[in-house]
Amino acid sequence: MDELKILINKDINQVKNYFREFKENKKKMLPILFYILWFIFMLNSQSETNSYSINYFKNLSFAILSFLLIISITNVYFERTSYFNMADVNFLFTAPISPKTILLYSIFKTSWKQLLAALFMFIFLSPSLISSGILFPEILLGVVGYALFIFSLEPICFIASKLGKKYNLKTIIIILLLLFILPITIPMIIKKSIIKGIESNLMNFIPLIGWSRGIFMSMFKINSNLFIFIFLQLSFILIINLYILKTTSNYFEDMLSSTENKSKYIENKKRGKNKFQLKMNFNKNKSISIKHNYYGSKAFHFKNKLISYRNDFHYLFGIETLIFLILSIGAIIIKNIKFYDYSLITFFTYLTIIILYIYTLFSINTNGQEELDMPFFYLIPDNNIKKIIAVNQLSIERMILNSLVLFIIPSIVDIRNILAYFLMFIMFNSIYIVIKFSNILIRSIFRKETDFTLMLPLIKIFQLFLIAIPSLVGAIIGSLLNNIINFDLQIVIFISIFLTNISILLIQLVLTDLIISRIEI
Amino acid sequence: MLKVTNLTKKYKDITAVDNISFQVNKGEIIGLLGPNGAGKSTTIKSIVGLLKVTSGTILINGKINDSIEAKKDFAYIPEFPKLYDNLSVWEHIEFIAKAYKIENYKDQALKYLEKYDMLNKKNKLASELSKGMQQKVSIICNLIIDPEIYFFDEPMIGLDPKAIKETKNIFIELKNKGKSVFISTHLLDSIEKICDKILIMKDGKIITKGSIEELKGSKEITLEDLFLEATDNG
Repeated sequence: MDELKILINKDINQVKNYFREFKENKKKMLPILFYILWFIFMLNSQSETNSYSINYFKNLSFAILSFLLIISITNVYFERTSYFNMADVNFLFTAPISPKTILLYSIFKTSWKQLLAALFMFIFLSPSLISSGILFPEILLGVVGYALFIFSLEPICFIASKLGKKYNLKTIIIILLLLFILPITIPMIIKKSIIKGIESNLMNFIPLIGWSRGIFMSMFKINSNLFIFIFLQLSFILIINLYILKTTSNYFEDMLSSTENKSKYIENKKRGKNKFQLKMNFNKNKSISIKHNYYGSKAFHFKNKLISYRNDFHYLFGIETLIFLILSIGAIIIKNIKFYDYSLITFFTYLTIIILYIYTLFSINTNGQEELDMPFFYLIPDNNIKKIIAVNQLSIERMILNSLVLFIIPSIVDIRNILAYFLMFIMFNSIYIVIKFSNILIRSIFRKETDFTLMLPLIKIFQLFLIAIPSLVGAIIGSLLNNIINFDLQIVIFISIFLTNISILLIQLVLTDLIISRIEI
Repeated sequence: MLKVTNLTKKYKDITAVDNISFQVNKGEIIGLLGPNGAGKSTTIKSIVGLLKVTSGTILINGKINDSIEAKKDFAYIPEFPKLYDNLSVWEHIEFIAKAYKIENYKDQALKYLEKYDMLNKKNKLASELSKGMQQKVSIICNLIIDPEIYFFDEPMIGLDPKAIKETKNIFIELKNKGKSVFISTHLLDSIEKICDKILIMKDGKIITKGSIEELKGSKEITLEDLFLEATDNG
């Protein structure tokens, strides 16, 4: 009991200090304030909406539970499943405290943290739940379903990552997928539809995701099997924790590398350095030679080329090219089977917006910006603007080719709109370049932020302003010009966006140059 | 005090530590030397129970190394100490004192904080400290435990010259109090004058062991020469 008290006190002190820090560093309050405002806004906007259908919640809860399960399995795969941090390794693992107490407390703590996040989500959802006729005590039933899921998930991941050290990790991942992911396809097969399968009550009988959803959905209508689901879920938690207690006497070594990986991952995440990259290490051990000579700032381009050669089939083409090709051909095929009613050009306009949106969301963590943390970026004797261009040159070249792959097939199939596709191609790339350079600009402005994760929503809004405002200005100018020159509206808008982006790009480069020359590292 | 017998540690096909045996007696300062990748950190981590040994036995004060009883008898200062970001220096000390059930630690802790010029940082959070300062906190936390044997993994890295000098003095102080100190390092001159014995590791094996005088014999050589000769780099 004393041991537990020591661990609890340590964490209480940490939480107290976390909040005390706000007094010292008011800037840390900014993201919190932003979240509160966002939360109030969401509450208000949701309270204005009418009730949602039961199927909406069925699908939503299924999506959330599946997402959590997949994220957990991914963490096991990347060996990041750990309940500890490096300070625990240094202080707790060598302290005379029972390893089982440390483990159970840490599992509980991790689950509790996730549960807190879940509670936050329930508060967030409560207006729409209440407007759907759910009473507050019934909402608690949903929380129970969610909580039991979380309390099952953490021990599963612990056992899987422990077994992964002993046996082949890939085999363990396959077993996890077979046990918990594959069964969710059974109702879909029986109902011959993904959506009907998800909405079906059969799904509630699938281990973990199903049981938890069964409990969760009892908020709306008490399921006759509710107590069976609760019993199954509780028994599962009990058995799995007993198994851990019985079999886990020495887990320190197993947890050591996962804890190191997790710590690195979290550290990088906080600093916004986790990369979102589709790479395959095609030429991992091959010796690569680059023919041209690159001097000064061009050395960055040389380095990126080397990395690209190592990771992809070719330095200009990669997995992304294949995805773009599949998207392009796929869009035409499903248009031909009349899957959607839009014209091909409209469909490609939407597709372009979605791709750019995804790039904007994830590109903050791609390579390029990390150079700003390297002293040699500042020390290489060359012009800053040239360096920034060299750092991004390869990604831009690759995107030009990828987007060519995306637009060339529809422009042949739909030849009467060839000019529109060409302009869309130009607009797409100009926005992509603005995104790339805005990343550098943002990283140079926010480079001293200790917790990049917390700042990310603010940064994203700032970036969206950088990208959306010029496009909006371009679109307005385009519409105004259209009245004068009487040309195809879509084409005039594309040209205006492109031209506005070019001017924004030049301003960005000058601004970044100014900021970079003042950076102290 | 510490008895390591036929210790082997394998990572899949790689043998990081290959059947090593040695003993550390009460009041001895032992230096574990070796080039990068020799197996020094793996040896220390195995001794303190962070790694499971593949074979062999490790006894600390006659107790199996990963037992709770043995843990009361040793302290481990890792190569890259990580602290709890949201705990202050003093709170780390308090936490360790509680974990090891130490009651009269405050005077000792203050003394060490002063030695390491950390007294004015007592209430600072770990996240506000430099790496060297974090290393100092890690050392102080372990010094207040007052166990029978101390394991230091590369303790001088990141420390300023004054702190290095203080740490060396502390090693001597501990030895004079009858405590054993086991230091893994590749900074040879930092331990040459204070070690009673050295163990030189290469490719997971102990290739040389004994007192520096014994190993030098009649030759007028430095520990660096001795090390290079033993590891075939000279």
